[in-house]
Amino acid sequence: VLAKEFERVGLPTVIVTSLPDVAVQMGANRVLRPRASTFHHPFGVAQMDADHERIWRREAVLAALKVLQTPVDGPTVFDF
Amino acid sequence: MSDHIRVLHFLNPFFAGIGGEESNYMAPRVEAGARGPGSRISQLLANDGELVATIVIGDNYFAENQLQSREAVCAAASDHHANVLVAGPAFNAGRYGLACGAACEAVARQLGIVAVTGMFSENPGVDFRRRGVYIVPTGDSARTMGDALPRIVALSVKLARGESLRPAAEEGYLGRGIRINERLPQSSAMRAVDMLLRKLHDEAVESEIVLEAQEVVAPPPPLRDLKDAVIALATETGLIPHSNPDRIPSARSRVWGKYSVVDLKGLTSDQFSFVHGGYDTTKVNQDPNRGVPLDALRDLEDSGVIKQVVNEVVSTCGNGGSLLEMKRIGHEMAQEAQLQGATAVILPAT
Repeated sequence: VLAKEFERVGLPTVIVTSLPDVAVQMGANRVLRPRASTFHHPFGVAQMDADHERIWRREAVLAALKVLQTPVDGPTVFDF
Repeated sequence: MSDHIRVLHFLNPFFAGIGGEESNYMAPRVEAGARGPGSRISQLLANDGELVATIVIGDNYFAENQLQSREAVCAAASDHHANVLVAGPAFNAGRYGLACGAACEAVARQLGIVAVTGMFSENPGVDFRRRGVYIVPTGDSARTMGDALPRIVALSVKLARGESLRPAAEEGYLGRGIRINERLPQSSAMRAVDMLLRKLHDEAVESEIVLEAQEVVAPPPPLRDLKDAVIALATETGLIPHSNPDRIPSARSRVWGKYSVVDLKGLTSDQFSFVHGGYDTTKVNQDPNRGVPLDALRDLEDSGVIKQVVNEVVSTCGNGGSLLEMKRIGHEMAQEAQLQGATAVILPAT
């Protein structure tokens, strides 16, 4: 719902979540599912050591930025 | 609840046969008896009741004088001891549909009497169904008057007599989003398995819970060049500074906050935490970047991959939020992001 309001004013928006089905059902257009993270922390992998987790998070954010550069026609789920 | 039904009929001047486009600004006028489609309503009521009066208001007058118009309809209903208001039907006429919806809402709320209107499913006035107005679906033009009026009258009579209604679709009006509990012989587990089996056999399955169709927002074009991107972080994970200055609650939030991250290389657990009743916040409280990845974005900002990170993070708690509230919050957040010069948004959600 929030993502749609950002997109309504023209800002491409990527929602990052482990529950992409809900986001799609609500009509969010750009949805990124980071496979390694969990529902409780979309940008974290708690079992990694801190350095690896930071590297992983940078990659996850890059994946999100890539989604923002991707044209979509409607609700679309991207995997990372 | 009454055996003898006294109907007040609401019309615009066009349908009342008083005038065309030029009468759009006509102030409220009340007349005894039926006008226009009202005579057919009188016939359909037959022995059940009578159409006692007609109130006519121009669509533009109504739109620009909401309060006076609503009061005029209520006054006419009281004066004529009406226990039912029938409005329209409005078919696909937008301003007329809004006036019909508002007239119905006014008498239903202020006088507690039955109010029924009819309109086409795409008329903007159908939104009034969420405010408790009974709306019978009609075709998109007055050609379908003959089909619409008997259904409107039948529903009005039923409501006026206080008869209990079956589900909206069976009864022939647009669902108002109200669920009524009822006792069924089979438990929900049995009904669910039964539904699954029918689905597996490719038979028709009808959900007991109607999911609202979501409004579609066309996706804006993607970012061209990351080097020029100004990225805003927005979230529903319930990110807050420890003091929670906006008092964001852990569920059903109606507020949001913007929190400065200027000069911060990342979010730290000595400044930020999360308030959210819908997930386990232990790990994000240990390292808030796991929820809202400011550290990684700063890194990408420093290395020139993106131009800038917006220095205000906007946050609310999405747990159990009402759609309408979240829509408003989203709109306000989006305006804030625009104000901050954002060109795109990353929105972590749980």
